[in-house]
Amino acid sequence: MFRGVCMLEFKNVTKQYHSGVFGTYITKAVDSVSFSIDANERIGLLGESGCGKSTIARLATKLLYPSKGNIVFNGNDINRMSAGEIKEYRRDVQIVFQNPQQIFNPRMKLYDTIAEPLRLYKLTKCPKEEKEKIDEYMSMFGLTDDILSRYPKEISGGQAQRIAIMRIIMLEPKLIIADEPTTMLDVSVQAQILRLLQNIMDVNKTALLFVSHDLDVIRAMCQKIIVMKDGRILEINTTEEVFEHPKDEYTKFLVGKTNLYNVQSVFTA
Amino acid sequence: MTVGPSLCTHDPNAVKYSEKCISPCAEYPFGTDFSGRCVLCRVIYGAHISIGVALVVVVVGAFIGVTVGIVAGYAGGAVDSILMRLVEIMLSFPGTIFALAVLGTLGNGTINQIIALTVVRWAHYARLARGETLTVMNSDYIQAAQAIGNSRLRIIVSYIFPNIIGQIIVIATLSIGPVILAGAALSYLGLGAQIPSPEWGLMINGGKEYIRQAPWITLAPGMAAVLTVFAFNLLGEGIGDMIDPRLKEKAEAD
Amino acid sequence: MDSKILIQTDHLYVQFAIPNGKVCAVNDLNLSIKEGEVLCLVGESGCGKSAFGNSILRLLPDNATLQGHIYYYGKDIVRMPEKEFRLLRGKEIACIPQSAATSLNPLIECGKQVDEVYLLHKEKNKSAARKNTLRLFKMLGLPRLPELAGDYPHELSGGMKQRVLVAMGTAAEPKFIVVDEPTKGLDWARKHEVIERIGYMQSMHNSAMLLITHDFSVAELLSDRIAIMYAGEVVEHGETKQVLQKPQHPYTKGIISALPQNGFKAIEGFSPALTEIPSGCRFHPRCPNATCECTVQHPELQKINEPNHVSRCLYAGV
Repeated sequence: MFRGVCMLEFKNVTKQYHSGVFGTYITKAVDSVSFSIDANERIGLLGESGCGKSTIARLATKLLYPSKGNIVFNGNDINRMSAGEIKEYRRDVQIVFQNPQQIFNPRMKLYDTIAEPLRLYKLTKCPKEEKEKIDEYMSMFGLTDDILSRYPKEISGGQAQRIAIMRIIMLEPKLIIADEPTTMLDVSVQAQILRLLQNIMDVNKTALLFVSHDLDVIRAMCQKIIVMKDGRILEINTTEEVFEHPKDEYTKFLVGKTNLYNVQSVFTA
Repeated sequence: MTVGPSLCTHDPNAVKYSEKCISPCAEYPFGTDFSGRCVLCRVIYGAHISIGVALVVVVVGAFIGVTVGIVAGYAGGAVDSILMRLVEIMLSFPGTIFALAVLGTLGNGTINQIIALTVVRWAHYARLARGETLTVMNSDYIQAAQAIGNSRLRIIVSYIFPNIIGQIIVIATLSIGPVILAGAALSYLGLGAQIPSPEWGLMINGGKEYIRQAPWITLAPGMAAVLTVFAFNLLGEGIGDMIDPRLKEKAEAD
Repeated sequence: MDSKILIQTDHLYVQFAIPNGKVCAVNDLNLSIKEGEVLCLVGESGCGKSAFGNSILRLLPDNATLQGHIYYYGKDIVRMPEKEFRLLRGKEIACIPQSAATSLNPLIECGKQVDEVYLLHKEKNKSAARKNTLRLFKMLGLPRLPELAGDYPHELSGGMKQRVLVAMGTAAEPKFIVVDEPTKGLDWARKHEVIERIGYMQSMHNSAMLLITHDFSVAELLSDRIAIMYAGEVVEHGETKQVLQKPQHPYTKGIISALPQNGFKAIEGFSPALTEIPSGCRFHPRCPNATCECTVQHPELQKINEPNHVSRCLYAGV
């Protein structure tokens, strides 16, 4: 299933929004961000809500366009690709969203939702082959057949996230961007999903960009961490270095918070 | 509508001056009018026309309106602005007067009545469809659909359309009533359907001189119109409840 | 010195009527909370913890039925007439609800919403109410006082709205507060803020609390005792430090191992739907140590060595 080297690079990317009376007030969601992801790398994008990490996830999947700078995939600027190249790109770079139950078409049965990637990229030749492939993946992901005839609102968060990841894996992407995939899930379900992602990375040699605000999760999943605040990158380093020798003040602050403390003694008015 | 004509024992257009203005009785449940025609039969045949016209207007109007609305909502930018200005211009004309103007230009007749009413109505559906499209566009599943590689056309057909059609059907059903009344109003004013059509508005107009001696001539079509509008409103609300039982499900979730 | 028991439940069942019959969200719950004590109720979505919290506040939906008793200082609040309970709700039994975005009235200024609680339950003095509100806001660390009290909810950030909710819940200095998932979906910075503030308010007013969450770090920081719920039942219960350091029930052990910092070892299988409860021990399909006994016999809460540490497992303490 290994399909070659992947390299995604952000070069001085800025995403800004104009607001105010004459559009003169500028907010930068992402400010001059540069980093790269190699094949088989697992990188965590860590930061608070509103620091720009979700924007980066969307820029990388062409759901948003950068105001300045380039995003390059294997040497090609993703925003200057032909239609055919874009389709290939979408297959290679996929995203797992935060709210699993809200990313499926509420009017489509789950069978059709699951079959959609197979149909879009013509990965199977007939309905019989399609059903066989779906059955194969369903058992790989520990899902039962009765789900296929249901609608998205009739399944749990954990099942929905499994289905979301399953659809993506059917395309054999080179890079998976996970945008807070387990934030809305319970602890035990989170553990199952994270294990699942890890197994997939190991077997398929897929690269991972894991976006989260949860230090413990990123520490467990990723080899390298990018720390962001207010749209800018503060630090990029291996996981051990970030936790043991944080360079930036903010990173030190973040890492320090993982240690538990006595509530009453710390409060200041 | 298919059952109706078989209930009629009399020919709705048969003129019998000997039996004019008979009050409601066993043979003529709604009496007869000034030309001796059975009022009940005329009301039933009139239903064909009034409801038929309304359904055509609503279906064609919704089709045009939804297309314009989805295109405007999805495309955004200049296309959206231009289309919405057009919609706003259409909506700023008072409905009945605009219909009168259209009929005045095109001439009388049922087909022209349909055209006039459709021209007035489509803008309402366009505005609704655009609003619903924008709501759907903000949903996570549209982003997921784009990310997985769906083309723009597929997103409109498989994602946007099925998710807005529910609301459109409800509003369309609820608007059948007002369209029936608008059609009746136009016929009452002498435009649209012509004598001897048993269209309700025309019947009400015809009966207005006999309101003292034979009130049933105006009352019957009037009541029929009211009851039909009421029935379609209930239908519209029922469909709405069927399509949107979200509130019940939340209680079950816990 | 022994504090008095504030809330005590006695064989409490909460059932919801659904199209195909009935579903039991809370099954034979027996818990007690003393004055000034914080009890944390931990469990996954659908385990019945929110249903229990809402049953104390009598805010369950129409299709819910309660069986058993909930005693507040000895008075049964399940059977209390609505008029009488309304005097308690908000004043002595309050809540800090889950989602700040939807729990505040978007059309009323924040300060007024907090004033309202004081005016309803303490005294009808507007200036005293406003003074109290500003005092609470200052304690909670809200900036730009007193102007902030005149802001509408949409003008505040998520963290600030959450603090306004905390102020609303504590404005009447209630004896007992139900805090429902205060940190759900919040990032770690907001989470720590909220935990700090709630902890501070609790210690200032010495209110008892029922803290409902699925987050262990919140439980560890704020609670004295903890009860773990699974499929509508309490499966383990005891002092927080005791339970978290030496968990007895396989489910508790499983959840703690599933934490990312402990290597996220997943528990096999899924939580059962309340319409398909397994026979015998409800956890047996997912338990690594399940035996034949477990599929047949439904275990009661067994006492482990330490006082008040109980576990619903046939092999507890073994």
